[in-house]
Amino acid sequence: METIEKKQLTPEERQANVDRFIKRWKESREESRREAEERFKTPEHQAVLKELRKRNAEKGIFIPEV
Amino acid sequence: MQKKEFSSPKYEYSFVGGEKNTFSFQTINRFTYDVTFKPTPYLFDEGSVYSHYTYEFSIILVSNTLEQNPPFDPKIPPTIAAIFTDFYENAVDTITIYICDSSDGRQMTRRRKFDKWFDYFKGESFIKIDAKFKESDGTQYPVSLIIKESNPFRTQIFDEFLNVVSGYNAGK
Repeated sequence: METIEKKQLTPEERQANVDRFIKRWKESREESRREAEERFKTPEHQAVLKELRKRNAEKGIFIPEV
Repeated sequence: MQKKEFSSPKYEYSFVGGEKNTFSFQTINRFTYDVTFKPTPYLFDEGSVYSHYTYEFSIILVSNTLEQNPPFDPKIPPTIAAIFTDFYENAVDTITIYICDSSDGRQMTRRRKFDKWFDYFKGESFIKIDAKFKESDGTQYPVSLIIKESNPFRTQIFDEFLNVVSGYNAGK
């Protein structure tokens, strides 16, 4: 059976991997936040929220419009 | 799948869609949240068979009308649980990671809150493993990985995840 050996990383290389992952995650999270805030302002999304308020009201959960 | 009755009803939510699989809901205090499942193929090695099943779960406070930290709302945990379960119903092999934001030093509060939410929906169907990413400046990021208990590859997935956390094959 063939054995595939993984490269033995140094502690510095492992830390660099983690740092790269966290950096990428932070950038992605900020992008998601920006997109969500932009979408929130659109008439389409406001219509979605209006429909949700209606459905919630039918269950007795009243969310004020303003 | 959540089996027990919730003491508080959940909010209605809507699947907005998009590449981040966004769900949206609004609370009685008019906080608006997006819950997203963003494909995260870079968590595991790019060649990993698990890459295409991996999503990052995020809860984004989109609109804060009170401009303060949202107060405890008992309807939110069952709402998050319902969304989570809803997403898995269409993709049982999903691997979800949740990373707690540490930018404001409240990462452990987020971890505790997430653990409480997880208690709402884990039932006997979901299992979670917790770890921490440690940045070189010492900042720690609590991270959880959640899969269906029935996932036949759970042992291998957890092993790969722990390798990622320790830096052996984090996204390049």
